[in-house]
Order: sequence, then C-alpha cells, then structure tokens
Amino acid sequence: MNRSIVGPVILIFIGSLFLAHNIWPQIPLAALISTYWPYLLIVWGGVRLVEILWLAARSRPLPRKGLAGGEVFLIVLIAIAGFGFNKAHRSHAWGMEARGLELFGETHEYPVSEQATAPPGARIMIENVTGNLQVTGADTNQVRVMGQKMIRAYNRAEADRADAVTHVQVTSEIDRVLIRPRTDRTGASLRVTTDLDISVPRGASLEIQGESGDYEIRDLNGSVNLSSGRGSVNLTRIQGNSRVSVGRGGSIRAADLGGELIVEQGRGGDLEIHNIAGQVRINGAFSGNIEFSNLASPLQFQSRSTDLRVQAIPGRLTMDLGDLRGTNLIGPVRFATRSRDVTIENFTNALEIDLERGDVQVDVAKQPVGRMDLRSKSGDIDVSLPESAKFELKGRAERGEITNAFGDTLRIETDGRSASIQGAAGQGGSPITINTGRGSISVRKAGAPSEEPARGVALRAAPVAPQFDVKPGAEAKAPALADLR
Amino acid sequence: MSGGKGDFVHAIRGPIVLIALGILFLIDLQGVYRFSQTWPVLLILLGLLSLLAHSLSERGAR
Repeated sequence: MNRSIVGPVILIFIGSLFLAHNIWPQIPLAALISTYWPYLLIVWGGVRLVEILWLAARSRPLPRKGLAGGEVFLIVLIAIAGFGFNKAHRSHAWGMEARGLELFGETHEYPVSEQATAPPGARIMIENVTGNLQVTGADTNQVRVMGQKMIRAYNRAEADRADAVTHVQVTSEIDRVLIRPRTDRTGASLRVTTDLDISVPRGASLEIQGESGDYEIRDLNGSVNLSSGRGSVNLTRIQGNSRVSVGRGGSIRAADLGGELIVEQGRGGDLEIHNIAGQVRINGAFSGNIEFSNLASPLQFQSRSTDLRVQAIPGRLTMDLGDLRGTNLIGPVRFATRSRDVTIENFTNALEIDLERGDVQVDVAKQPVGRMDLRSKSGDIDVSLPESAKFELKGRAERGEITNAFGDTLRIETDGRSASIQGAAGQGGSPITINTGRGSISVRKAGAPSEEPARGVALRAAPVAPQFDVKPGAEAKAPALADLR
Repeated sequence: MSGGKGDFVHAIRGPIVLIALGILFLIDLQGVYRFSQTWPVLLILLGLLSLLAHSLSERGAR
C-alpha cells in the first residue's frame, strides 16, 4: 500500500524551521508562523493532489479517501493553533504584517536633519506626513527640518534598508518649498513614521497634507491650510487665514489668530477657540468640551443636530453634550439643537433659542434688553430681566405653569393645563416670545429669586439650610426630633 | 474498474478542500474577508465535487 510522503515532509520541514530558529535566533519565527501558516495547508493539499494524480496516471489503486483520518485531525489542530496564535495579535487594526510588527518588531530611530533656503513669501508644502509635526515661524529665510524617523522592523538591517530609501525630501522651487517624508517607499511590510520639528520663515504660508499625527503650528504671518486623516491640531499666533480639515481627530485648539478660521471635522474630541480676529466657521461633530472666547467676528458652528450663530463673543461660550453656557455675547445669537440645557447671561441685540428638549435660562442685567425668541418642546424656560427694563412679552406653556415677578405689568391666563402670559413694560421695548411644550415659564426680576421656588432655585437654596443648625434653638430641637423616631 | 473516475474524484476531494481551506485562511489573515464570511465557499466546492463524481460515475456505468 502506498503511503503519502506528506507526513515525513512536514516533519522535516518543521524540524528544520526550529533548527534554523535555534541557530539564527534573530529569525522572527513566531511572526513568520502566524503570517504564513495557511500556506502549509495549501502545500499539504497540493502534494496530496499530485500524489493521487500520479497514482491515477499509473492506474494504481487509489486511496478511498484523499486524506486519512489522522491527517484530518492534524489539520484541524494546525488550524486551531494558527488562529489562536493569530487572535492573540489581532488587537491592532493593522494588516497582518503590521500586527506581527507591533508584537515582534522593534522601533529603530534615525535622526532627520534637512535644510533649504526659502524664496521670500514662499509657500511651504508638507505632504504625506505620518507622525507628529511641529511647525514654527522664525526670523530666518531657511527651512530647517529636524526630527526623528521611527522605523518599526524585525531587525536592524531591515530598518537600515528602509532608512536608506525613506529620506525626508526638502526641495526648494521658485515660489515654494516642498517637504516630503518618503515613508511610502518601503512597501506595506514596515511602518515608518516621522516626528518632525520644522522651522520656517515667519512670512511663509503653510500647506500640510497629512495622514495621521498631531500638528502644532505657531508664529506665522502667512496662512495655514491643513488637511489630515487623523490627529489633533493646535494653532497659535497665525496672522493669515487658517483652514483645518481633519477626518477623525482628537482635539482642535486655536488661539490668537489674526485671520479667519475654518474647521471641517468628521469626528473629534475637544474644541477650544480663543482670541480670533476673523470669522470662525466650524463644521463637525465634537464629543468633548467646546469652548469659544474672545471672538471679534461672527461665529458659525454646525454639527448634525446643532446650529449656533453668534455675531461676536467678547465673553465666553462653552458647550458639551448636555449644556450650552454663554456669557456676554453680541447678537444676533441663534442656537438650535436637539437636547441641551441652555444658560445665557447677558447678550445684546437678539437671541433665538430653539430646542427639542432642554431647559433655558436667560439672565439679562444690562439695558436695553434685546429681542428674544425662546422655544423648547420640552423644558422649563426661565427669564430674568432688569426691574426697569422695557419689553413686550408674550409667552405660552402648553402643559405647565407660569410664574411672574413683574406683577400687573404681565397678565397670566390659565386654560386647563396650558397657560399664557402677555404684557408690556414701558414703551417700545423689544419683543420677547417664550414657548414651551411641556414645562414651566418663569419671568423674574434680575437679582431676585423667583416667587415660587423652581427646582433649580431650590437646589441653590439648599446649602443655606445648615445655617439653622448654628442657632441655639435648632440645637435644642434636634434631640427632640431624634426622640420622635 | 467501473466507477473508477468516481473514485478518483473521491480521492482528490480531501486535498482540494484542504487547499481551498488554506486559501480562505490566508484571505482571512490578509484581512480582506473573514473566514466567518467565506466558509460557504467550502460547501459549494464540496457540492461541485460530488456533482462531478456523480456525473462521472454515471458516464462510467454506461
């Protein structure tokens, strides 16, 4: 009876594999096995197939089955082992090669140092960066690229080879300087990233096209145009216009910009914008904290469910997933969203708030009081106005109560579960309309608490309560209460 | 040797399925398609092979 040669061949193969590993330990056996083990099955099947074809061609008796029971068992064992081996490294989203690299490779670092003279007013273009990037404007006409090239490879020789073909190219042309880390040349098997610290002439304009990494750009008089697949962005002291477009990002931070700022963001964390002279336009989804302060020109913020427009923000505006708080805003202010509690303190001109769900609190201490249009489908709306303010108020709560601190100036009518309020204080005051579907309306005088303590006020009053304990009478009462229990 | 061709198909069935299995695992490791997505290929292959065996042994019997 003919016996297959596969068994002995595989034994020889595995034996030599381990022998090779023992003699040359730098061979990444584990990585190789976890990558290539399915070829073993293919070769095995192939050899078996050739054997059977050979037997058939010579009209010898064929084995009843192509594979013996023992073989099938061994194959199942190999598959389980191979997958188990592989599952252990699958935590990373890389391709198989990179997964092996992450686990078994080592990072080798190579210094980067390049330099070129930039023509006056040049555009600096940085392309295909993978890794962190820091660009700083300086009083020089040189573009200097310093940094670190990180190559993840199985061994030094491999990394050295990759280093040789991945120079950071810095080329100076008529009106621009091109910086290109050629990290794409190694093929998919190695991962090359560069952390670069680039200093450029202060007057330069910057154009960055990156794949992933954190970007820090500062002290430039030109414009900045940055687009990247992933990463955080930090812009400081840019005189020109800035445009940032990140697919999936960490946080975006911009401070002290002389021009306008446009941000397009797929999905991001925090957003922090301070001291911007030009317009600010933001379009994206941010899951973290959003903060605007000292914006001299109009702000336009848009996400899937939120639309915010403010003429200028001398004060501060913060927003997270549950709240929006604005202090000292110049209107017209418009805010529409699905579900957030809104607190606005002092605004001018006009305020429009449109919520699906959420409470609104507007405190105005300064005169004249601006126009207001406050709507929430479900939530309490609380407005406080200066005592001598001029306004023309009209409000309606479909299902809820209305409280009023302005006395006879405002007339409240209740009709079943709904209530409305109407009236005018002074002549030619701004119109104020308040509408809530389910929730109460309260109109207060600035500085005074509402007549009937609303939920929020009751909470604020709570810390005052312990004062009673200090009074001697309270101490006398306390044991009596205890006796009652 | 009646049905000898049918026997031949039976004999090569194991190795062919083994090769297909190896290829599917490779594709899985490359991350293109998961094995959990591609395993029906094996059923189709087995079906085709037995169909082949069937038709061959019928022809052999004639």
